[in-house]
Amino acid sequence: MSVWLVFALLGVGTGSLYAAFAIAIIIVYRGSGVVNFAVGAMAMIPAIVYAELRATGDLVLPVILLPDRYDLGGPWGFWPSACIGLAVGVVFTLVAERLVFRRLRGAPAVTCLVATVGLTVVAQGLMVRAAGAGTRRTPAILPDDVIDVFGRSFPVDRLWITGVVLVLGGGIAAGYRRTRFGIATRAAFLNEKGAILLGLDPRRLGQINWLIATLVAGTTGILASSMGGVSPFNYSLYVVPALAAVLAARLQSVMVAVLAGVGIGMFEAVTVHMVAKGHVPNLLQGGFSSLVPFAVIVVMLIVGGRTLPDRSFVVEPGQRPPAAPPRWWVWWPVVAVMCIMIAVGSSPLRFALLQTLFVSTLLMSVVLVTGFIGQVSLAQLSFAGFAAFMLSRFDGLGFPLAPVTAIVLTTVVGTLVSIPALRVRGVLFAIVSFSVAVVFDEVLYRSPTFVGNGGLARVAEPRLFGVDLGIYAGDDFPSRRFAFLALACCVGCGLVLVGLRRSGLGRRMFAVNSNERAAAASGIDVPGTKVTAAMLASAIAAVAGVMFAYKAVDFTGAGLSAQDGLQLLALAYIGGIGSIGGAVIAGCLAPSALAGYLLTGGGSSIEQYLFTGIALVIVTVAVPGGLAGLPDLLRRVRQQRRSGSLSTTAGG
Amino acid sequence: MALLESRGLTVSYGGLHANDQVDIDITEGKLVGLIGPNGAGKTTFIDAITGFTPLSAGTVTFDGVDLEGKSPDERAHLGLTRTFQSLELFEDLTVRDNLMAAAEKARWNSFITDILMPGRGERAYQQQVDEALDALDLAEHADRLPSDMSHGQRKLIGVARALAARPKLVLLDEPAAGLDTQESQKLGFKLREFLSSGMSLFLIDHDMGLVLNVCDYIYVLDFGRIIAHGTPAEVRKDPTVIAAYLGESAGEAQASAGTALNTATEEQS
Ligand SMILES: Nc1ncnc2c1ncn2[C@@H]1O[C@H](COP(=O)(O)OP(=O)(O)OP(=O)(O)O)[C@@H](O)[C@H]1O
Ligand SMILES: [Mg+2]
Repeated sequence: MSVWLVFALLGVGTGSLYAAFAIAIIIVYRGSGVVNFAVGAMAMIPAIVYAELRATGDLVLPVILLPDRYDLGGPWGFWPSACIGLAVGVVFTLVAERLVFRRLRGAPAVTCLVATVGLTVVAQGLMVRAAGAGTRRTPAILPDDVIDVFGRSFPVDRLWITGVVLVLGGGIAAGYRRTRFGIATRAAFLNEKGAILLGLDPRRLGQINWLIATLVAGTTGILASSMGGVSPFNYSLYVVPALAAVLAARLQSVMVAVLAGVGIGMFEAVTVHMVAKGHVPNLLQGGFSSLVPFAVIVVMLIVGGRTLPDRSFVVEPGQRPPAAPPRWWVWWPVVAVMCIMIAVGSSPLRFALLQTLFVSTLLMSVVLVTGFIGQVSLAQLSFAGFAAFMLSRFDGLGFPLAPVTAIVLTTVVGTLVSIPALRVRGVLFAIVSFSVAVVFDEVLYRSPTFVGNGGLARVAEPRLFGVDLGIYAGDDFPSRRFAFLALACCVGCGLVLVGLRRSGLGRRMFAVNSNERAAAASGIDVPGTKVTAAMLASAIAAVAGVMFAYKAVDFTGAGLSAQDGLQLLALAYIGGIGSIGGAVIAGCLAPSALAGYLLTGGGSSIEQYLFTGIALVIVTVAVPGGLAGLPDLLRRVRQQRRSGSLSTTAGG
Repeated sequence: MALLESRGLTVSYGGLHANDQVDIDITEGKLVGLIGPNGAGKTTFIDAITGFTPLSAGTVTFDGVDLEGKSPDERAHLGLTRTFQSLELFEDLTVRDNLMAAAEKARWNSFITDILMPGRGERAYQQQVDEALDALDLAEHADRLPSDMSHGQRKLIGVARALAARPKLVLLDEPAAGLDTQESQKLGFKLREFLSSGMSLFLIDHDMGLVLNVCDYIYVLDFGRIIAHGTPAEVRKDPTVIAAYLGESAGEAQASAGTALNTATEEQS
């Protein structure tokens, strides 16, 4: 018993981090209605600035076009470093609030969420450029003695940080209940128009709340850098447990969120111990503990969710401007050019094309769930990864049978996963799908049973009637046969999407996307339509996964993680989330894909990652239809201007 | 037996009885009205009948089928459709597609045929949709988006969408709200036309002129209870109704304006 208690206690350290992030998420949500995925990045910036100042005395800044590193003399102490770190974080948030979130007031919550994803990518890209991707640990800040608990050594800094977060949470909860500012924030959250009539300025309140959240996240980030270390990426993974805590608090109570966050941390530590003790089936040994926040999220959403939104549910405008009818004839020249590239192109060009084909296919599944049915899914890449690993697992079955098995299994899993998610929509769906991605990432891709030891999977080359169709076939790598095969798969998926868009089912999907209540009243089976969409989308993702596996031959979970899923969604939005053209454009823009090859000679780099983030933010703010929607947007603007000038001449 | 019967229908939100022991009969081929002051529970009644809000007590039968446990889309397939007070159109679909989405009946395998042969199953429903568009004079706007149209036209799209599936009964939640007197009168004529094509209608509206003149039978709801019911003439004279609802002179004026319309309708037919 006491052993379990010690392990539970060990978890309070991480739990406090989750709790602090949860506080920051709630503050921003209550202050501006944005569910903030970027909270990890908001904690990371001050922490890395702090860490660099303490280690080298250099000031690193998350900026582009300006020098991002300044020598401020020797290593600095705690207070100056922490203050400068927080100041940098505050300025970053202020700029982001001003340029992005203020313009997004009144935009669909999902668009705001996607913008915070973009912001995360931007922050990570900038900090990697400025300070490198490595993890750094800073000297202890809190007392770090080791004491004896039930005969085991126990580092007390865990308790200290918990104390700090509890005090912080209590103070903030009291502050929001007592002070004029807190009450004004609540008033503006509950009734923005009413608050304006009372003379409050919701925009200003939102800004201050963003700042408070930055300070909370940044302080915790700095403290945590002395315990587990900080890298540009690690804090972003704490967002999932933090969101679980936020949901447990129903996006409302700071104190409940704090307790839930600490609780999740404790349960995670206990499950880690369970794995070590062999209490957990081999299958789940990978990252069993990541199931804890996932379970919390699913239970909270299913208990709180409704199959149909009720009358008070505000119908959000669609995620994209009205989609133009698909002009499928545009695609024949595109396919023809791709065929020519395969036939006569150089080896790197063909390789870049393969990457484009893989990403385009995968994004078609994102277009289906997100663009057609309106559920923002961050899990499609995980389904592709699942299919890739399944292919390697059932590779013995031979070519057509093994990929078919992998695709069928993935479709079944994707469909099953979508069923509990039927009761949630919008932002909450995005949260569930991200936590699914994290579970796939942590549990499945590391499971000894599932993936094999070391997480390295392998597939044999596809062979049909004795003909080698693999990427190594012949002596020209990558083989032309394989490239044509990949092109055929991608075109096939595209045709499915075109057919769907023009069919009754597609119409029903768009109807569900527009308005679920009206869809149900019109006799459309809303859950059935959503499940069908999820099924088709996971099948398409599985096709992409099979392409990935045959393209890579040997692979691990790298490139399939939840973090990569974020970048994928970013690409999908940049290309245009509502259309097949968007998927193909994004496929060209993806790292190591065609655009990169043609413009910069290939490869992927942090600059591209950063550029993706910046482009995503711009798209969410200014071009809701993405690049594919640009012509339509311009046409509309021109029309409006023309009718506008007509009416002024008529009036004058 | 009436087409739709509610017996002891009660809907509670917390302690509030939004509908309290409501008994309403909607007879086949008739236009039945429901009136009542703001917050009386009229929309709640439609929500309860169409499966959007759970009943706390009572039963609803439609066309001989007990509706208990049926989802909104199943009820729509039985031939029971509705419009929404707040419109709730499919803003991303063209007017025609708004109607098509409601008219088409999906089968379990339709997604396969839909992908392999898009458009094949559509023809059967095209005609139905065209009729509904013509009935509400929307045919020329069929390829526009609802968001580009006027409020009055948007109201009509909502009605057309409810008609597109050729239902047995349409529940109309304030279709005339926001229409001017002339548009509202025109809508009244149209509603009577639909009746003659074998449909039954249930109308909620605050426009007394419309309700008193086009309805065959009227129920009056106040604080969730039925306080009176009868033919328009009976309801107009009922003292409880006058006290609860028509007492204001504005109501009187509207009602007498309605009388004029009534005679006009009779002359026409
Ligand atoms: N989801 C809900 N939760 C709690 N109360 C509700 C809910 N929906 C409606 N109500 C309450 O039920 C009562 C009846 O509302 P309802 O909308 O049915 O009235 P109505 O007769 O349609 O009014 P109006 O003429 O303004 O449309 C009101 O007091 C309303 O506040
Ligand atoms: Mg109402």
